[in-house]
Amino acid sequence: MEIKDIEYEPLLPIEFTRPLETIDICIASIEPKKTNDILKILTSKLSLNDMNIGHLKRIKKSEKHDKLLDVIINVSTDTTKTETELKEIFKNNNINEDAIKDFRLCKASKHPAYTKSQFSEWKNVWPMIFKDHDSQHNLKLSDEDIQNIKKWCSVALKKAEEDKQKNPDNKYNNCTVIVNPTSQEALAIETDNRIKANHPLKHSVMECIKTISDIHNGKDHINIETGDSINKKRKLNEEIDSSQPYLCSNYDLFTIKEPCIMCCMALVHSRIGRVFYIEKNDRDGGLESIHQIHIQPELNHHFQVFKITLK
Amino acid sequence: MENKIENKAINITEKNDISSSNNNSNEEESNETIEKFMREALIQAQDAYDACEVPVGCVFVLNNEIIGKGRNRTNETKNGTRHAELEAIDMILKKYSPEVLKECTLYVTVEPCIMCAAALRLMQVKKVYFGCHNERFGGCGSIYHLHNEDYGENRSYEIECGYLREEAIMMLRKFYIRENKNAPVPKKKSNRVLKTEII
Ligand SMILES: [Zn+2]
Ligand SMILES: [Zn+2]
Repeated sequence: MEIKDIEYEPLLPIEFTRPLETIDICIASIEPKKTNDILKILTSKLSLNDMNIGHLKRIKKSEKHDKLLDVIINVSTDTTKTETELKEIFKNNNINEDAIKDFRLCKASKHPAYTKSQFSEWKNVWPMIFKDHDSQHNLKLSDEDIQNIKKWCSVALKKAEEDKQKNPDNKYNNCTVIVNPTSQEALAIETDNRIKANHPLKHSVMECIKTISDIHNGKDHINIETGDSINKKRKLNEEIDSSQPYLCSNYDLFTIKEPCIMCCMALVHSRIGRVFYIEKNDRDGGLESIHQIHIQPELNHHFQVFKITLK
Repeated sequence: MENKIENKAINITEKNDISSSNNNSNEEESNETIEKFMREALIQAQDAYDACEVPVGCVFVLNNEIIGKGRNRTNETKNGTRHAELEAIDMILKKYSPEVLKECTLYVTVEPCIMCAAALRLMQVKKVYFGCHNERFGGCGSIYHLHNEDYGENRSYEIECGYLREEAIMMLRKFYIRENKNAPVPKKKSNRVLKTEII
């Protein structure tokens, strides 16, 4: 089963996909000469981070007032009150209140930009700072990744097809492969065994996790491709025991069907690195259908997910 | 090794007392019965504690009789998915067909995690009693409400929590204090103080 080409779609948190949303900020115009004094007060009394707008730049060149700078004061919409309060603070710090004028509202992006395209659009509303979040969430896969996805998806499809020949009535037909991305070695290739084992929890993902824990525990591992019995413990120990406290840290997982909620949480517990799947699971899928467990903010481990379309 | 990093794996909530998601069960267990089986679950949790595992334990009860027991074995098996509930289910399925779970009530010391809460739905268990909430991973109220969410086939189950809650919490606290003491990099001092008052 050769896969000619694929398309992929990263399943990203809302931060990466949301459109521009604006908030009102209160700004005023200041003399460039007084910038340092004024900024000192503003940063200590009205820090942008405390107001949840740390992604905005404090100052920009004023378009309205020639030779002046526009500066963010706060996120209150009551500009009169803000002006009175700030001028009071200025007085106590011996800054002439004429140094600041024209308190008014202005729009700015409510959220930090996570992608470059968000940034290039949103910064036009009010200048922003861009922190690169892409290192953790690669939006683009390398050519090598694409080749590997094709290879391991076809391994999973082939194995599932073989299983289908043997068990034509198995409506849960599926196969999962867990791969060490560095060595490109398959550590587990398992089908869905719910029917075979008469056990409703023996999904292919759970079976793969079990296989890998067996390898860690030094049990012989049967190479599914060749039928050989191999013991990978020593090899695994070298790379895992010292540096990786969790079972599947950094591993790639390839599967045909979107894993169910139970399996997705099992992957959180195992600290999987990346998950690639082909078909949506409307019934109880945990990555796009029912929940998005890989990016659930309250969980302590997140993983990358790519939905793969075969061409 | 897992627990040192996973330090506050199970946070303890101060949610209060006995609460029920649903009380239209026709054969309500008496408080005495519930406590009796929760004690059995706590014995399992203690067993986990003694083996340096996160102290969570459970029993499955069919017609007033325990047919399966389990406790956390994630360190021993090097498999982060070997939670008490899955251990007990595997034990039951060695003897019974999966359908038996539909008639079973689960007593577990801590709210099932998302994985186990989903597994209980797949097994179609009848009812779940648990001691304390699991703020970090809980799938029956804390992070998700898998027991009564509308998805898949309609297989929601009833939950009731708060039974022997203090004991369940104390065991977890004791465990994390011990883990912190053994951790190479000590955490903040406040984590080491055993809080004896339970709100
Ligand atoms: Zn599953
Ligand atoms: Zn669990």
